[in-house]
Amino acid sequence: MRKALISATALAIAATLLAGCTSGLSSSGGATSGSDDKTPVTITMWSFFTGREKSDVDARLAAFHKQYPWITVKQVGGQSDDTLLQAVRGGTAPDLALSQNSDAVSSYCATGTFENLQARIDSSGVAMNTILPSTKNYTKYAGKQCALPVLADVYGLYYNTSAFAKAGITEAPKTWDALSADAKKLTTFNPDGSIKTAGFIPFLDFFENNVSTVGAGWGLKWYESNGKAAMGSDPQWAAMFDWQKKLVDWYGYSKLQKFVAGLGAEFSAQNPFQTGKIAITVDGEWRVAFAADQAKDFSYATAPIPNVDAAKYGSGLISGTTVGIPQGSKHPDQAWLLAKYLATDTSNLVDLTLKLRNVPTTTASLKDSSIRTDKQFNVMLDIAANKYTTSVPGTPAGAAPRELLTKFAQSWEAGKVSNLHSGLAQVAKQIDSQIAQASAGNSQ
Amino acid sequence: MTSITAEVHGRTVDARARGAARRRRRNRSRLTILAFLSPGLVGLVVFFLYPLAANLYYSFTHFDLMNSAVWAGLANYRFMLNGDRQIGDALVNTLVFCVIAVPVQLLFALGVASVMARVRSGAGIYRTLFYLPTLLPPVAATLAFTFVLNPGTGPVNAILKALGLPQPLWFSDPAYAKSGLLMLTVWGIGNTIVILLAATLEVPVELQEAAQLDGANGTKRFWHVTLPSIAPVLLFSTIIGVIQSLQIFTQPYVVSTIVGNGSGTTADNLGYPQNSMLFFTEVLYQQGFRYFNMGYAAALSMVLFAATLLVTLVLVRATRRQFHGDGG
Amino acid sequence: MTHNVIETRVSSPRSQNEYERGTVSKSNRRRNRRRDFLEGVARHSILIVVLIFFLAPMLFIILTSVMSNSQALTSELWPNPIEWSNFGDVFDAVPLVRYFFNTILIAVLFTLFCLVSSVPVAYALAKFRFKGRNALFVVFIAAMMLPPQVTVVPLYVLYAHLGWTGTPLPLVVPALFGDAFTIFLLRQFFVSIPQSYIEAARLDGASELRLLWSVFIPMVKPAIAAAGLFAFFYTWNDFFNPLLYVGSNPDWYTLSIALSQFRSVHAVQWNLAMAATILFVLPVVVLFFFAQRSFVRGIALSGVKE
Repeated sequence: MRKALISATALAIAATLLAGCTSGLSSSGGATSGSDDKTPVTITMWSFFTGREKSDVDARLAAFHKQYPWITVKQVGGQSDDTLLQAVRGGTAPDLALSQNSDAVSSYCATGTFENLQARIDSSGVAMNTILPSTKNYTKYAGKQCALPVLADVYGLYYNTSAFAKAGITEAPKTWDALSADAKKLTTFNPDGSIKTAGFIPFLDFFENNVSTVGAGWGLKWYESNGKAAMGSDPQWAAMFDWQKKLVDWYGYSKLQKFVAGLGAEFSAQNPFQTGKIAITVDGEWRVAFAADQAKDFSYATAPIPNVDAAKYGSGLISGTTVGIPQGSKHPDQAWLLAKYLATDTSNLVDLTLKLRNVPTTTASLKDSSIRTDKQFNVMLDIAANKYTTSVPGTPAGAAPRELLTKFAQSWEAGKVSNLHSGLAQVAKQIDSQIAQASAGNSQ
Repeated sequence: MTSITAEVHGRTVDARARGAARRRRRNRSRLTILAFLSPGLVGLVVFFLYPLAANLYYSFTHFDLMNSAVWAGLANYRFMLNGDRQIGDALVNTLVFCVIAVPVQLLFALGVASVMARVRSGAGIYRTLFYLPTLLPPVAATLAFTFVLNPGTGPVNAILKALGLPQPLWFSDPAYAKSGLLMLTVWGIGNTIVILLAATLEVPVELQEAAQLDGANGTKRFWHVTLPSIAPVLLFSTIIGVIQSLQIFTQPYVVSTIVGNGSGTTADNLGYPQNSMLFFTEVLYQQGFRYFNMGYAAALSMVLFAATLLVTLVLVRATRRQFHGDGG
Repeated sequence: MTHNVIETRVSSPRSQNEYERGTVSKSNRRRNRRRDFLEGVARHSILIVVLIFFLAPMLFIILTSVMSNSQALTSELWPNPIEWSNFGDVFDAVPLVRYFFNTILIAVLFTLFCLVSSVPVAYALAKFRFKGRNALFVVFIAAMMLPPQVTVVPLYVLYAHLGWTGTPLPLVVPALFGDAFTIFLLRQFFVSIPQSYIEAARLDGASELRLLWSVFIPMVKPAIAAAGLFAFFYTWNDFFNPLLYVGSNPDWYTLSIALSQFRSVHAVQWNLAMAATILFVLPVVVLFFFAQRSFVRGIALSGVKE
């Protein structure tokens, strides 16, 4: 009898828990007051900024407060995309959030993690054509725009000018084969055969060398028009991996790995490029600020990455920070005002560009001459403004496609893939099923 | 007559009263037992039975925690078998590691414990020293090992180089990554050493003496006297070892995220190098808590649960056989 | 053959039996003594050699923790110069004090709750007779052996609905409902306490609760201490559960998470990471040295055959 009582209670508890837990957390936002509502309110904005950068952004938030005195913004820094996702799932989402992971934003649009902003965009008359069209790829999915870009990263070639001079190279390589040749000339070895300084690290999972940044110079098609992954069908993928492997094999995979394992951390003062260990790298525009800060006497130059198509030389990859209104935001209307300000206000973007040293994302701000501060940075700005600059198309699977490709690249570099074409076809299929898995159940 | 009936009645009344008192005591004690057990019982229901049941349900749905769970039938299981290429690697890795690591760990612990049991002095100090690495939190231990096994600048490779031996890439080479992981787990085997040491010391002296009188040397004594005596403890340690290796998570996670070269703050590289560090729990974590594929993660949990159950049953049955074979 | 596993006998001489019986000749005795000596030397050597390999990584940790960052990137083994400042720098690089506080708070609360809830359960399992007692104990063992990953998905969903993710509540509240391993450990020990003490107190008319509190618990203090120690270390060292539940909220990070993130936020600075490791481990090592006997007792308890 007692046992029956216990099991009955157990079942009852289980049933209640189960019933309550299978629903989603779709808590509607707070009062749907329009932007005309001027009651003083404090909204929270999450970002990944810390330290100096966070204070720079705080200054902009103060400027925003001057424009909209009834809205006070509290910035919570150090939040990654992971923490944002967990907060949204956990029902503790902030009012506004900055996302650093442009790979994932499309999945936010697809699942509703970020609110669909289309209606707001249309009714607020935001001049969407000032925003760089290349950012659309990572702020929109299936016709739903759920984020606005706020500053972006562009990637180009950084090269050590003194090393170039010593090796007799006069200009930055414009083709991938030229890059290989230069890399070989710039590499020096220790007496025991190990690498002393490397011309270029051909790994596709090293610092900012990855499938996206390097791939931007190969004219890669990521997805067919029907949404299927195109790694197996587009021959450019095989071409890129072939080129890369040849350079890896020239160095020796083992030797390269040992060399890389002993390098300093990317954002520390021991950054291998800044300390002369690597002569040419693919890096983002922020490197200019870091170099100025950590290696004042280091002489280097920037250039666009090589391109298979000479006409498209000068372009590169753009990806970046986005801002969106998470599901569960308690003050979506006020958050929208802040989002609009951050993404389109020219003075805001110019100031952030000067402080954070990323590139701005509207044509208006790119035209502003005050941001053209040093020649290395100007090259990056030109890349951002270049009409052929692309971004990687987003999918509901978020970061999964890039992670799967990176894993493939790692196997390929190590020589574990026997047939490149079938390997690529397999990765494409994997990506397809991951996307299918992620889309199942999503309201498109 | 009245006196007899009165006596009889009296006895009945007393008996009934005593019976009632006993029943009251029993009910009170039943209530007491329930009260004492209640925290554990509630815990069992909420944190053990409910999740198992809920997992079963979720595994048939597509659930990303943002929207309601959508019934998806066998879609998750189909994805596990057909679509998710990683799960094959994860399964193989987990099983291979389990099959290799558990015996190696046990043999090492047994070896050390038996030598320690026979030293005359200082066994306490040895025991403490061997236990020290176990005190390290797994994250710290893994960090230390990735540093020590750094293929370029680590001390191990430096020593190997000085000896003229080949220097493997350790955690950057899928062929060696698991060896590194094995070394790491053996490093933390202090618990088992202490348990086996205690068990070995409990082997009754008389048995050892009898065997010695019969002319058995050290090895024979170990095999025929010590080993059977500590067999139950060995089996218990095996079960624990198997269960722990089936659910290994922290060490491979830290290895992959520290050693993987990619930049960025997210765990891009789970399983690095080339999925050799991808264990079942990592896939579960990645699918469930980074991709928020909760339904699929629940399906994976069911598989892990089934595997653990199977292994435990098999081993427990072996234990029981061992007990019966011994005569208890 | 029953044995009391409270104390492990560590230094009992073993090969003295022949001498005790006095049945060995003088030359044999000398030969035996020499053989025993050589055997002893051999054993000590084996242990010492293995120990050297065993403890070498810890030595490297200590040496690296006082190196400069650039030297930590080379394969040099001896720090030069010795940077004691690393231990201070770690506190600047990362809010280590807060993380220490978090970890201590969670560990202490977990241990307290765990003991409070598990002792009655273990007592009932060991000392009360009721139908289904063994079956229930087996269920607890099953719960103990279950990998946490099996139950984590629904529990996470539950906590998300309660709004507890990002807080340490999911790490601490479950301990109020018993911890399977603690229950197991305590029950194993409680079973060995003779029933007579309890029966005597019962005859004196004490209520069960009073009995537990005033009579039984004082008798089993060592076992409770051992179980508490285990619970403390388990929580102190835990990574998976904190990663899951407070991984989204840097305010509540535990030291495990902080250590694993020495890469992403501040890019692996090996010297600082190793210094942080030492700080992380220090409390545990200190506690261990003070509570060694309790520790060993607990471990031996967990290995007892039923």
